[in-house]
Amino acid sequence: MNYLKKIFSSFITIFIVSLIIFLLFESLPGDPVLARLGVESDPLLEARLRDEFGLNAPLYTRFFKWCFQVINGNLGKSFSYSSYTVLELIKSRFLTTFIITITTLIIVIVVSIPLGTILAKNHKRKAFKFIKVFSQIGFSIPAFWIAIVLIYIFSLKLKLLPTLGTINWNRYPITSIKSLILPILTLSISKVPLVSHYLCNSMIEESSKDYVRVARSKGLNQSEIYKRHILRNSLISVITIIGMITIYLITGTIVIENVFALPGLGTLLMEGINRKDYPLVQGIVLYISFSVILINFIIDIIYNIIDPRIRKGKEKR
Amino acid sequence: MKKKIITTLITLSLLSLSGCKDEKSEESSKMIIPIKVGFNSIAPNTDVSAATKEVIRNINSGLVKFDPDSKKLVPALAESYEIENEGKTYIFKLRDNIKFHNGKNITPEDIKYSFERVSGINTGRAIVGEWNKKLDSVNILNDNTVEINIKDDVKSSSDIYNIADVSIIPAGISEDQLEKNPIGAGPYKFVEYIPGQKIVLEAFDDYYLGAPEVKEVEFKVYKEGAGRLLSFKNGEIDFLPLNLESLKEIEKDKNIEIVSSLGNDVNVLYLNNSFKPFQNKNVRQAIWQAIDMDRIVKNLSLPKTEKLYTHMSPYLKEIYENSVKKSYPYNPEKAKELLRESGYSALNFTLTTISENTFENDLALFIKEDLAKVGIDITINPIPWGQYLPEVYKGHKYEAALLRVAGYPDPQRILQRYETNYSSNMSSYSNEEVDNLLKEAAQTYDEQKKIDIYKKIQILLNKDIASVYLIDQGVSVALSSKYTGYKTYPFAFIDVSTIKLKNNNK
Repeated sequence: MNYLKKIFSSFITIFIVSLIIFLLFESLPGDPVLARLGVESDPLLEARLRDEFGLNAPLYTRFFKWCFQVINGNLGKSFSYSSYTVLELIKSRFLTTFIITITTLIIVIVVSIPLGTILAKNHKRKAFKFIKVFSQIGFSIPAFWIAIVLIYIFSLKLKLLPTLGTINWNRYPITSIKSLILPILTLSISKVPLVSHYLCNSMIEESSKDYVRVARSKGLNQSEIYKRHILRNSLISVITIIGMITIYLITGTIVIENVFALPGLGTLLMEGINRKDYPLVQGIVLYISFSVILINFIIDIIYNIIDPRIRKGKEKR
Repeated sequence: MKKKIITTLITLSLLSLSGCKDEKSEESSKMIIPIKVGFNSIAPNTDVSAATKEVIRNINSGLVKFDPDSKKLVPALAESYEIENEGKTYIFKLRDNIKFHNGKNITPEDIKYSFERVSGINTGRAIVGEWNKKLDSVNILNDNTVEINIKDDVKSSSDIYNIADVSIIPAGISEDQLEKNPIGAGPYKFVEYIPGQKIVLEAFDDYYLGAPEVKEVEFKVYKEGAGRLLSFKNGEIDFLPLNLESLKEIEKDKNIEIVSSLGNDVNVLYLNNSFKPFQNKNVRQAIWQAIDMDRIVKNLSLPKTEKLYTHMSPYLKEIYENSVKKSYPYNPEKAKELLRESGYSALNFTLTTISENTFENDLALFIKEDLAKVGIDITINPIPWGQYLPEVYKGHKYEAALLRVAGYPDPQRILQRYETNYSSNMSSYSNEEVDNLLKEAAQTYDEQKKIDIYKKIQILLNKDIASVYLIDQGVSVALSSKYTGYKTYPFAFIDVSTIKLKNNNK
């Protein structure tokens, strides 16, 4: 029942987000027809396009028409890529963003959890204090800057990887893999320090709590305490951070996709905004809202698995 | 276990590095050209934006075409043409044995179909609005001659430029086919298109001017920025339009060929006549004379930048009016005097620019500095192109505005912007004499007579200070060390067929 409620409220959220985006987009300066036709626009073509995309209709008619289409599984036709539907365009960009997201997440989890633990265990040592400062610098550096440094090292100096993303899994699978290495590395480098830093702080805080002292006084094994109690409890807050990173990655890492000329969802969204392609922007926003809600669901489930208190708390209610 | 994972990872990465060799050699035979944005449509003549045209022109051919060497229109798919009935009728004789990309010979039926398609004469769905107004009929005279009739009330001597723009396509082909798999008679055949990402083209061996040397070309969407320059230096892209910063970087490398030319685009400082102070010619002149154009050229120029005096660049040599060259030299003292005389010694106005265009924003800063020296205070207002287009360009809602106005090979199309009732008359300029001269030029089919009229118009624009004409910044393009011979055009066109392979020419 609880989940049913959540699903219902999620749909309401998606509806409200769509409506807000529709209204915001409408209030933005600019004209989609002129954005498409440019300076060479001609009154006859302008009128034809306005008619073809129903732009003469009032705002609410357009919005509800769009909602009706979506219910029927149709996101409409892109305004700026005339012979393609929004769904086709999202599909064509989805895989790139998906691979980047999943791989970066795996790297972030695999590297930052042991790193954070090691940092927490040794946080009193001088050398580790230095590493902590270093990691602080790490997450303050903007990702595009890391990207340029990596391009300089791996592409220009070592000539190992391309600067330019070529994604074509059928014709050039290896080039496609190579094109994704630097973007994934860039994102991982900018996110690993953040997660490990957060985990480390959370573990230090956790280890000063009473129950840890009790466990220690009982003579429990130190590494057992870390594994079973401190890490487990610290992961709760880290999962929130990882959830936020996932949302950031899934919505398309606009800057990184631009730097590496990668055909992902972030660049598609930017194109849609620049060209005032409202069906495309609405479609991508819908996809993003849906993903964010889904990720929140997954995080909820993980919380339940990791911390039985949350599960039990819910059951009691 | 750990060892196993590490060994597998190392083996996999080694495999990927060895495997990439074949892919790389396959890709390196392809010329890669970066473009700024994706296309609305790849069907011929459907997308009118310059960003699309510069690419799609490689697939299509018209009956006549612009020759960048002579800077004139020359026959293309047509072997020759005649203009009859005082400009109402154009008769084209087709070349023998010319082919479309699908191997079919081009016939007069195809010409008829192509012109009827753009005008929407049969379908009611015009592709080019201008042709919808103009086309009267297309008649097939015999198996290699076709006659195009223009409606009497709208015929103009610059119709031949409109004819050059119509892409010839096979008769009967549907819009759907053209959208997904365009066919033309240009130097390159369509291979693959991924919307918003890239279009791949392949040399057409039966092209009527001979097969191009570059066998495969990929136009890839890759926005401007530091990444593009690095990719060019790394040999991943073979073509790089240069700006001030990248030119300095690229110039150091002696292996790289830089092609520079005048661009025929005109940077104009529009002064809106609806803003009261600008109705006074002395104020307009003061602004012109207060701007140190030499300093702008020195600091912002590409190799071929030229100062301008009217809305015509010396690119179109024959039409360019030389006599205006000495007008309004930099003279801040004179500017101050003119402002005093006109009662506007302290003037404020807003200068609207396009926020995405770094060059114009730099230009605005130079102008602001110069004008401050004569007591004019300007506020620079950069707005995105999406807003600039409807508000400033179409709606004329501005006080002063900077714009890089695209050039055309047709002087009528350039100067028409100063006709009183023309929709894109940015400065709301109005001069009956100019209106009459433009009408006269449109009805004159004698080349020399037309040139004289256009020169007269330039003198009038300069005399009236219809706008403050700044510079033609020119274009500079870098080609990777494998290529040579690129030619620039006075309109949006990256003509890959002019590019040669360096090794072939040694």
